[in-house]
Amino acid sequence: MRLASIYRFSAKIWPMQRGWSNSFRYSCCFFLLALLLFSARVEALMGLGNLVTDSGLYQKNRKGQKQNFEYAPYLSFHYRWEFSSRFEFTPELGFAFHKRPSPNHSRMTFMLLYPVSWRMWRRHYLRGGLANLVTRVAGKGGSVFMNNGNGVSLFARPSGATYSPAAAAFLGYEYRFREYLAVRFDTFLVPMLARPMRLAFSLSTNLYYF
Amino acid sequence: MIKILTLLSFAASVTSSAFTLIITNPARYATNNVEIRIANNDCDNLGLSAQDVKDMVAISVGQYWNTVPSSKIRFHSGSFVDVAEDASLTDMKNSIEDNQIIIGCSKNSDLFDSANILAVGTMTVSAPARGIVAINNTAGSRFSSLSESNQRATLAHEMGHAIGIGHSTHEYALMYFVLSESIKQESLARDDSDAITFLYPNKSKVPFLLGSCGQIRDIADKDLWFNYIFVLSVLALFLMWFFVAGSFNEMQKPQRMKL
Repeated sequence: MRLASIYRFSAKIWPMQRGWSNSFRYSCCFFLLALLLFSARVEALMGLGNLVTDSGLYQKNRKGQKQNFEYAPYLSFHYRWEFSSRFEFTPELGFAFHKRPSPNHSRMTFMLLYPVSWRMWRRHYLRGGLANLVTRVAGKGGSVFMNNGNGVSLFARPSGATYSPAAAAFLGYEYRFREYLAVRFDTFLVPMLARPMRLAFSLSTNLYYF
Repeated sequence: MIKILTLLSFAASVTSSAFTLIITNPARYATNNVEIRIANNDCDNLGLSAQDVKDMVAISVGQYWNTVPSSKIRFHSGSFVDVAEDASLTDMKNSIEDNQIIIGCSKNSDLFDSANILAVGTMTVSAPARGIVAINNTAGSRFSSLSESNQRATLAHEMGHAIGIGHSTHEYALMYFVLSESIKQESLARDDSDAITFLYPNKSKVPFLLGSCGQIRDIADKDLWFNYIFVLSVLALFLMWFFVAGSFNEMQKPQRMKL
């Protein structure tokens, strides 16, 4: 009954939506968020950690060995919504700064996480949910003379930035030393709905700041 | 002196560059699933049939370019196409349709004036995109002396040119300008991945997961504004609730009783 009324309400305020299934999906989101918001206690946190993307996928040396670990520090900001004594919702926005591949181009990863944490036992939390990982590759432009087999040719350097988003599912573990200090480890499966998939990991420390 | 300065500036520019593009804004393939057509002529000087080349291409794309999760483009080997055995790059380009790549052997002496050239890869300068990869099938071609894995790596390297990627200065990258037996090219390097991601990134029509709880599906561009409004309204709700909850939390703090 309540769901139907929310659907009618959303149909009134968003008249451009087409098709019942799409509307129903948005209504579900609206309903879940409303449920979440009006029963929650909120805290804001900051996290510092390391994100390893594309583990075991790319070559790292002349011997053909794959890169399993990557140093990419990340900074994250998140809210902690406690909607019961055992369950929390902690939406998170993170920025991972990869080692600059060259002075002319850079790579960065933005993360949007929508995890639900379950307090398993005392300070041990299991968390999982959905995420968006957005890869940004940017270049300064220009051109460069490079070897081209038997001679030298002019090649263009990348100019501008492109963003490549991917949906991900993730599962993680968190240990809270104190209420304001925690360590967590997350494992991502990226992309969630397409092939090929890859694994990504993050290890971080989180601080309660207000 | 000028020569030394030129060489020094060349060395400096090489060491400060990673992946490059064949031109500043190369033509992009209009489809996410690019068909690779195989020339129907046998590579008699290399001891390879057209079917061998097709099999090699199928393994090569699976091992290299189809492994990048942050790129939307995928390749599959398609049907054979008739091409003369001494075809030029233009002849090969004209034998396929738009948004396809052709790979085949050629004995064209203008194209391969040296046995040291293993293969040549390029693409059309402007849209619609067509890619061409010609393998050196002239007498004495060094391609036949390569190991099978290096032949696959060579094909993948030329395919990189056929999608718009230039050379790289990272020596273990697939797009490095020299093929060496001392480098084991088992997969792409991160630099190659950056290149294909830069040219062909994933394009999600749904900007955030919040826009769709049920499933992710393509939405027409004209409907995108609706998703943005939805996401913005959700964010506004978050912020509003943050302030409301903050004051609510303050109220919930136990008050000291005044005695």
